[in-house]
Amino acid sequence: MSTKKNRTVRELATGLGFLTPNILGFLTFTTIPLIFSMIMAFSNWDLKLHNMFKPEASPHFVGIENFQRLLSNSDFYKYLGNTLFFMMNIPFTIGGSLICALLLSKDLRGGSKKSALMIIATAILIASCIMLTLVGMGASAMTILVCGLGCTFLVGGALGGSTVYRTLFYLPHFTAGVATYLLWKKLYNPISGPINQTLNPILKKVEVAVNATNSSVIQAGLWIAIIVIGAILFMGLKRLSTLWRDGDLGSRAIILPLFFLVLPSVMASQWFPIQAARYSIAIVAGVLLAVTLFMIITSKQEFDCKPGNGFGNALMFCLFMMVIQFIVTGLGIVAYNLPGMAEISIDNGVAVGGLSAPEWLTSYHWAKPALMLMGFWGAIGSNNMLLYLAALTNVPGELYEAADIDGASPFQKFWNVTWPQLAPTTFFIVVMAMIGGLQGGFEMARTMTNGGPAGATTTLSYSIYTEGFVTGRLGYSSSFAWVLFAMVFSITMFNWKFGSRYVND
Amino acid sequence: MKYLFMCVFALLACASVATWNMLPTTQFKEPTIYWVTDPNPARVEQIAIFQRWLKKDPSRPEMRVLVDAANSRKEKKVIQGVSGVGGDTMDMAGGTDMRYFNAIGLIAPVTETAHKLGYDVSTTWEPIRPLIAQDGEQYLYPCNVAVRMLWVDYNQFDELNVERPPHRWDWDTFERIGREYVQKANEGKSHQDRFMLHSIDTETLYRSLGLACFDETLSFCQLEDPRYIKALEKKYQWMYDDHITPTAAEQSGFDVEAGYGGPQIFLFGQGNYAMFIMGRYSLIRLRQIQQARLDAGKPMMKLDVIEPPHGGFPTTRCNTRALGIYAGGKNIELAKTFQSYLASEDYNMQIVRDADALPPNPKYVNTLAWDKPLPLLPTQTEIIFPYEEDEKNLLSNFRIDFYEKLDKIDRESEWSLQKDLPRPPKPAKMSDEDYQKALAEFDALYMASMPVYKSEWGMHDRFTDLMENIALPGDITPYCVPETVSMEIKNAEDEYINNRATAKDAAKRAADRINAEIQRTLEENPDIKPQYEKARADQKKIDELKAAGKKIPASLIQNPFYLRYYKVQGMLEEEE
Repeated sequence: MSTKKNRTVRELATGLGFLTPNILGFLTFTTIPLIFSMIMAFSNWDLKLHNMFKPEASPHFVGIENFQRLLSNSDFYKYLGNTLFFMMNIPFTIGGSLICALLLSKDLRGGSKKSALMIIATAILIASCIMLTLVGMGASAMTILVCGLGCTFLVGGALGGSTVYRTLFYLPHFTAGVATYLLWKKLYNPISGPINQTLNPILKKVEVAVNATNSSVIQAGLWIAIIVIGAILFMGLKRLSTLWRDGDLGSRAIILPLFFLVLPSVMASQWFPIQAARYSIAIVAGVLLAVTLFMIITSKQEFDCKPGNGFGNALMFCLFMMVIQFIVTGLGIVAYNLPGMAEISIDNGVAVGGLSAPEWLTSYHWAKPALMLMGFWGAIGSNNMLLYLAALTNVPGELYEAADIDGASPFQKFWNVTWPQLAPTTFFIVVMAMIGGLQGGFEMARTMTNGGPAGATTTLSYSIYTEGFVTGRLGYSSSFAWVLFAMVFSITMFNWKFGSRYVND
Repeated sequence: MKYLFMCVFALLACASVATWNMLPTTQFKEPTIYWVTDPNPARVEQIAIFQRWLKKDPSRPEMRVLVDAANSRKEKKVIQGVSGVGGDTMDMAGGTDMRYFNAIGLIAPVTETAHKLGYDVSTTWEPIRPLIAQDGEQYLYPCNVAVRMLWVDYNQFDELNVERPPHRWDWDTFERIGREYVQKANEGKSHQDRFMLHSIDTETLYRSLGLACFDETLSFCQLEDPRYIKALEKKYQWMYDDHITPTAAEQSGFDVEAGYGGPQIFLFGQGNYAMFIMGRYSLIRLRQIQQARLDAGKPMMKLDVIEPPHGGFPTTRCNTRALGIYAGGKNIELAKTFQSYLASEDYNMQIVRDADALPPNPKYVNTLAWDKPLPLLPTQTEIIFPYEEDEKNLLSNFRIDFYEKLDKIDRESEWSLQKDLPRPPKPAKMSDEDYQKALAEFDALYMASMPVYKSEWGMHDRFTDLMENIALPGDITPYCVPETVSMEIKNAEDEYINNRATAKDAAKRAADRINAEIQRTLEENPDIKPQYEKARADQKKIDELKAAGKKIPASLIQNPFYLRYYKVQGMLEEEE
């Protein structure tokens, strides 16, 4: 008995011995600073006034003053807006990761030796053609380098199969952030960067075509956009009302998806450059919404449904529709402004105007999308892809066999088998991406734009840093961090509450 | 497993002990201090000179100085400093950093020691003094002093048959020459790749209209003034309408690595910019560019420095990289010895020769070596010609002789090393063969580099002239963190440049936000309220005097810009 007890004590001591360094590290570098920052958030701690050189002055408790100041500061909302803007990336990155995982889960080396050789030969041929064309065109060294790298991947993938691609896709994730940001800075160079070097000749051709065409023809694109938005909205509302009627969507669960579905039309009625277009979109959206609501209110559900049911599916569908509508809205506005943008004038002997590629990081309007695009590149091949790859291997093969027997098409198999089976993984990825999105953006802003121009790329995390270490207001900066925590916590709770329902739907 | 764990633990313990023993501070028997500075290669030479300087006076303590270039960022200095592990001595941007570091209590006052060791504020340039001392207490001493000038390559103007910019010019002349330059330089090109000037800061523009960021008592931001709006509009016009200076996108479009001093020096050498604004330290890279051109058989740049264009009141900005002593350090007295070295002839002459801006002590610019820098000063000839102690008179005679002859040669004149300049005499213990070899080394060095150095002759005095007459430090208010001010101004200007606000709205935004920041600082730190209230009362008196058209007593003014401005305008009442 005593021997057994001694052994247990010894095992416990050994276990604790192993764990102690980690526990100590966790306590020293995580728990204690966390508690400390919580206390600081309620104090007036200012590095300039309270530090080891000023023992006579000590910080004092200020209650919720820091939080009040923060929430009444317009900058906070601006930086929150920037952070949320970057987070609009999340659906796309998740979609990208899923597509990558689906592609990489295929066996690229399968088939006969003959077909493998054919694939390799085709890849080499394509790569050679691209490189020869670029060299013949006199493209810049940077463009040739980037395209050459792309071709190497193509040929490497053909030779090495999915293992090569899996490694390559995961590469951005384990490459140092700052190094990739510097690379992107080169890519975004407004003159010699490969992105603009590719865009500029295309835009020049568009410019010539636009200048040769009657402007009213091009501006008609705005009206086409209104028709398309109306059509999408109609489809969306029809789908929602069908879901409601069939008992797949509860009366409470319809509210938020409906809001997202109609939001682009509301915004378009503010953004469109001419009054007639603004009125038209408002009327179209208003009529469609009124008819749908009338139908929902006056008709009865054919099958019983709980008020909160079907929220997840409807929300995903409406968010997707919303994004498409926003894209069409943007295209419509661009079409209307295109003739004016393509016009060229001579100023002090220098040609000005015309269509040119974006100034990316130095332009207020383009800096955010530029960073977003870069984030997208980094995120598609990240842990999300690995999680999806792992989840895909866990989908039972019998389900696909059953779908095959039922004669399901590849899309139907994806939609009815793969996607539902991946729901828990998607849920986890969404939660983690939202947390990461709210906390992120610091390295990117610090390396590429310093938060500028005019604060366009300043995120909450970057702002916490500047408040804490540039102005020295540690208390205020901590309150900033805790408000961020509260947001992360609330969103995660929201996700758990509604997301888990979606996972189980 | 537990044995493996114990082994790893023991291994880590041994590695820690080994690392401790390899620390630079444990390598020397003398006490060691750290110098937190930038990774400039010149620091190695400056420390070597310091070690020699220490030995010249036996009363000086034995010590070692080690460069810490990894912690030169301001945030690092602050965090390490308040944690009790700051570097013994730290470089900082004079004025802005000093006030912030001093507000924290990070830097030790040195007034008494500076007076005793001969490096008090009176030994440095007058405009710089407010940047190293605060409220009558000295904290820093300059490592070097920079005055911002326009560097110009006249060849670029001559090639295009465009009038050369004059040494002093107003905005109209700048625009006229600029428009002609960019038009001729970019004729027939698909996109503009040549600009007359790299960039110009808004502060220089509005100051030349007689406006400073803060009022006379530094207690109120007055950027809402129409003169600031005019400066913003000019900057925009030169960028977007006249294309004299590049936009931010055009600047980044050049895609060159920065290197020391920034990419503009390289682009200036390439001909993309005909002018750029920077201090004398640009010469460190310009000399390399000139040498590369010389080696490649290309014509050298015809360099000169001129004043920034003005809107009525010629002015430019000056600043200093200055050394402060960490108040929490263990070697404060040794650090003060190192600080005093910055005022020595040895250090100052190194700055003069190396062209690392202006020397901290202005008396060293009154030397021939200042106006006619050489690739190898006669003082360094000892390295090639090792004279014995009793032969030192040979060396001093050679120096005198050398400078006398050098005085007769100017930038344009032809010269020969053998005929026009003397060469060092032979040390007694040196064999004839070695002497010939040393002479060949000496000649080769001069022949290869002298044209580069000679191309600068005659313009160094202009730095001195401008430093003494038109250079002024930036405005620094004691009522808020300087970084906040620059951040707000940058954001407001970005808003205007990106067409998100009019110049008027941008100016109002900047002024309002900076003034709000001042009020917030006063709320947070009531101790400075009495000082602020006194400043506001003084400002009221100043405003009344201005309205009545009367002279303003110098004692009421705290802003160095207005002291100079009113003096030039004849509006200053100077008191005893």
